[in-house]
Amino acid sequence: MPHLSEPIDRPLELRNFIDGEWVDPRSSEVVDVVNPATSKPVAKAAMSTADDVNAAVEAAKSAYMEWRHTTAAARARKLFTLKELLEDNFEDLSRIQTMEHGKTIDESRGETRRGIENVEVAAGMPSLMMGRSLENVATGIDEYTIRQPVGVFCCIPPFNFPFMVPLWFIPYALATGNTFIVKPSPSVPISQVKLCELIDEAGFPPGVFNLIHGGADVATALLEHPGIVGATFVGSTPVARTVYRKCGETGKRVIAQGGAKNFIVVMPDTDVKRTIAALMTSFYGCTGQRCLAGANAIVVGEDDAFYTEFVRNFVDAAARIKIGYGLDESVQMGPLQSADKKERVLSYIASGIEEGAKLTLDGRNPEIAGDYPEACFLGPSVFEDVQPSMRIAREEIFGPVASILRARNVDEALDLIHASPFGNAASIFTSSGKLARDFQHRVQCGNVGINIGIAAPMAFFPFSGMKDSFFGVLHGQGRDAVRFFTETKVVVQRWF
Amino acid sequence: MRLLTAAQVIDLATRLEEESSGFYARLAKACSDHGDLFQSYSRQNSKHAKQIEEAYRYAVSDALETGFSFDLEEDDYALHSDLEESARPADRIAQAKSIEEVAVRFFRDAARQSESLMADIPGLFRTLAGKRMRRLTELAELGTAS
Repeated sequence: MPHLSEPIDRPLELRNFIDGEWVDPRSSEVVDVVNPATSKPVAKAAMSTADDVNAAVEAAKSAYMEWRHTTAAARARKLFTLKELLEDNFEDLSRIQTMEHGKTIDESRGETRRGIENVEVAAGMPSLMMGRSLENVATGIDEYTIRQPVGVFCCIPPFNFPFMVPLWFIPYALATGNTFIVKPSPSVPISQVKLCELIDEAGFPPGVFNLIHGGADVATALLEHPGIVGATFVGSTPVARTVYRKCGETGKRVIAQGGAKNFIVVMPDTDVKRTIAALMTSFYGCTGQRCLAGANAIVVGEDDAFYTEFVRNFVDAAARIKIGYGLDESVQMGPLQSADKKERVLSYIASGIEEGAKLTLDGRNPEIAGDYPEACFLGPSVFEDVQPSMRIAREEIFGPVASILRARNVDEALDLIHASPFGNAASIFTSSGKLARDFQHRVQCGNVGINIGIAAPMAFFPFSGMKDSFFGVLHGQGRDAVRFFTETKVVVQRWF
Repeated sequence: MRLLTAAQVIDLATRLEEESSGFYARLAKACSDHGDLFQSYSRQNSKHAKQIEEAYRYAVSDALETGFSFDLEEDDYALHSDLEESARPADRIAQAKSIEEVAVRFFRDAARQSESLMADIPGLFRTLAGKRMRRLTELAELGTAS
């Protein structure tokens, strides 16, 4: 099948970026980065050592002293330059995401756009980080707050949004006057290397932004490093919990976003056609590999005819999804990011069958558009007769598998949602404003969708999360990020 | 070919505008009577192509239904944009009208199917359908005059 041209024509050799220079990591261990659609290598990333971590932290610490004294307006101007560079490279950045992650080009372009939006928001930092003041708190005494940067931060992003997630944090950290170290996921480091090249081109001083490659040992070294004042992490719940604990032990501020099991409540009064399109995006967009993906659909009511009609439409739409290489613009769903991740999803499908759920649509042998190895591809699957106790209903699958449950009423649907330890996202599809408002008020999760399948907050709002889906106080993006990356100083002033 | 994704539909929308632009540039050279008008159509079409690319690029969101909103058949919107040297003025106007009719139909269909996307995209498609409709009126008047 014809597809868009690939911006990477031979495997890249990826290096660390420390103190404004591209340098070789000191470890001899090398990780191959593979295009999951073609199974061809697209890069080699050498892993880092504790010495590399130390070098990055020292560079960031040195740069911090000068960077924090740079005016907020001057720092913001660097982001304006970066924004222009990101726009100039929009298409290459998007295609690289498809090449290393597997998502479709529409999805990658959407990810690029949402990343850039964070740069745009953070470019307003001179206004965003203003303090507050009150004259005459007592006779002749004024009081005001100042927001100041904190120091060196690190970011440990996930594999599923290699471009966007780092940008939930980087622009805010830099614009507020902090310095930064990012450690990409070894599965998808190229987008962040390209981003780093553009940050360098934008003219940020050496050491303000640093990138080091590595796995769990490098992440641990960063989290335990006394020179780092705060960390952001997005990934699974067990690791998020560990990151949170480790940051507590070492006195770091932290944003740790964990896993999810998101519920979509479908009311019988919904517009079925538009709901189905939204649910296809929710359950199968990015091949189900996003923390806001729909996982469990709860069809509410005892109207069997509505249930049957809804499921028939859902299964028909899912069965028609075109699967293939994301650089083919006609493809609607790409591969899983790796063969390991596919195996994990397959094990959940086996578990669902074993526990007695009905596999209404079996995605295990998909038809692939084009001549590509099956290694990472799966089609959409749909389970019916799913009980809340089954693993497929409780655990995060992170793949294109939908479980359909039933509830007699909204109360019962909310009980099902609240029984989950996760609290990342939940959506309701209905034409009743009253029901939607009631759902929004009662549901215990951080991101709520009303007739929206992916409740992804825009850059000027925080990306929320509750329960086992989030550990911390402040969230990424928007004003929460401004507060996270600054310390508030209060001045009480009197002149004699 | 069936068009299912936003990327495909944007590609087709852009191509329709570029082909139209080429057609009107050729028509402007071939028709001394209305050369300025057709030249302005050609320039407008080039501008539309750019507007379409920008609307998509600045409004695309992976969170909305970019992959699942559309179901259009590309062949339904094929343009006949080659200009025959020997064609009579009335035939050329008729050809232009047929191009505009296809464009109006496409932009209306695409606008209707993209209601779930960021508003910029269906909004632009509706605007372009309106502009192409106005051209049909203008072309009909030219046809009557000639």
